[in-house]
Amino acid sequence: MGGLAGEAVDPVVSFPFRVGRTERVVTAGSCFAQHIARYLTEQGFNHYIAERPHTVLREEVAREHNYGMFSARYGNIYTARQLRQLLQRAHGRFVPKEEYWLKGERYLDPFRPQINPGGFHSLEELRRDRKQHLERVLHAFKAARVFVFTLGLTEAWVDREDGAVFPICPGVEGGTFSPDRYAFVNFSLAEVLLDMKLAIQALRRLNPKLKIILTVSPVPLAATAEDRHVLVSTTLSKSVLRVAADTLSREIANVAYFPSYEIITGNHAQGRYFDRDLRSVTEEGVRHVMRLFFQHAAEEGEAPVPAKAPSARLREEDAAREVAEVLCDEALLDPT
Amino acid sequence: MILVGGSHATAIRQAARSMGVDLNFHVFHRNSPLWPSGKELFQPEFLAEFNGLEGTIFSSLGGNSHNVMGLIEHRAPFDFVHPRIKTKAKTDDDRTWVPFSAVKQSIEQTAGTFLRLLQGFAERYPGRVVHLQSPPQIEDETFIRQGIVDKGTDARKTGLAKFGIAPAALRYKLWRLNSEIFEERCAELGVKFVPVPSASITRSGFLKRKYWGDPTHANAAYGKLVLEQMRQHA
Repeated sequence: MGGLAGEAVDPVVSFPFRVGRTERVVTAGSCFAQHIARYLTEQGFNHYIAERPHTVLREEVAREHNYGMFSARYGNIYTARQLRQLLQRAHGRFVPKEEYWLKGERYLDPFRPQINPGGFHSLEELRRDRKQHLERVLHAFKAARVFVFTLGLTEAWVDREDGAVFPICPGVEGGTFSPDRYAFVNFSLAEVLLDMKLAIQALRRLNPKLKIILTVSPVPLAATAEDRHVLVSTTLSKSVLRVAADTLSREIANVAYFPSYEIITGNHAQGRYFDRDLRSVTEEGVRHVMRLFFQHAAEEGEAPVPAKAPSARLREEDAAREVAEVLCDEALLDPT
Repeated sequence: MILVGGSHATAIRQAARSMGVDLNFHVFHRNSPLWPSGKELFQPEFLAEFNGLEGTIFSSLGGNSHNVMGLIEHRAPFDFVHPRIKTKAKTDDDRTWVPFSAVKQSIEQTAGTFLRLLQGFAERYPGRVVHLQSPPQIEDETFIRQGIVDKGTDARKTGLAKFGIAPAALRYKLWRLNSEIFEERCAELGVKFVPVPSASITRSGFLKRKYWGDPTHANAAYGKLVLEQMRQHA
């Protein structure tokens, strides 16, 4: 491998199945999963968006409100426990006691605190949005043919009372931290495996033929709540997740591991696939990952070019604008 | 009195004419010659007159972005929770709930040029600028539907035939939000915001029947009420 150019390294070797171009692919996970979702969309694969923005919203507004980042507006799902609990919540089998976090006068969803810029304007709005969101989550997993999940972290904060796990530490983005209410956890390999197995069971109950692709995020931890250096925590966290992914792919049919972690972090890259902050993955690195993904894990052939027909949003807004303008024009023409 | 605005100015102009009030009106509408084009907010032919204006400028700019968003029901009906308006208990859960902030941003973008014009007047005019709230919604869906059909609009093309008029409660919220956007901008710019005449609204916040013009505009009788407000704020 030492004689190869970094971008020529291909550690995939073989992959057990291929993603069809029309198969509905649902994505979730940590930050790195966003890149996968973006490339799938760009390459004309059926990145399935179950929680679509309403046609009344302009595209840039929808993007800012995190529509289309993943298949539903769950934001980043960093831990296996989060995924497991998301499914439980979507089924109505788990209702966390922590209903909201306050940030000034706004309400945050503790399980996706950054999903709505600035937060929700009322508790009623948060409740309605969450109900709708969880319905769409269930729909996404029922409709999916392929699920791509990027495992990100083992460290998390949980509610001491009911074990609800949060994507970020309470008090950072909203709410108030209290050591009596919240506990730090660093999930062990056994816990990650159990959470993933239960999540996969739940997914397969909804959708027995679901193909699952696991990846491990190459993005190192920004901080650790363990009493040790973040480098040490990163190694442990990624090792646990990597072993969990390997175990799951060996033990469960139609669960595959795709080595994006190795492609980004391997020695061949000489660190080039990390940005100057030494955490963000460069576009070059993502391109390498996705090139191999499409080569080994996706159906061959040219990507269908999405038709450039006007979107439903444009057609309907144009029609509505036309009505409003016709009325305005008429009013202006009749000043007597 | 100086009035700048679009279609909502018509009711005021009609009232002014019937009352013999001299109104210096400048129309700013998408199809009007004064509509901003390129980088310049104000066209040269307007600037020459603008620099010579004296007295209070009244603005009825904008006031239809909420109708663009939600006068006609959408294929997938939507709704949103307005933090200061109680949602009716009977509200249909099948509607798609859109975040308040997303609706607000979308209206702001639709009204963008009007808001920039308002800012332009506030910043460049040495005298006083007063903004008039756009008239409230008409509650009666039959009146609105008929009014649109009477204007010769293609009911099939617009979705009117299939989807109808959006519920009054939604239209009311959109109007309120549109007004709040202008009110907030006025506060930032130091522009006086004048609410709709209290005599013109029903207890539930809609335009009283005697002030109905067409489906989205008030009539000259309403214009008289506004003209009276303008006199007080001149």
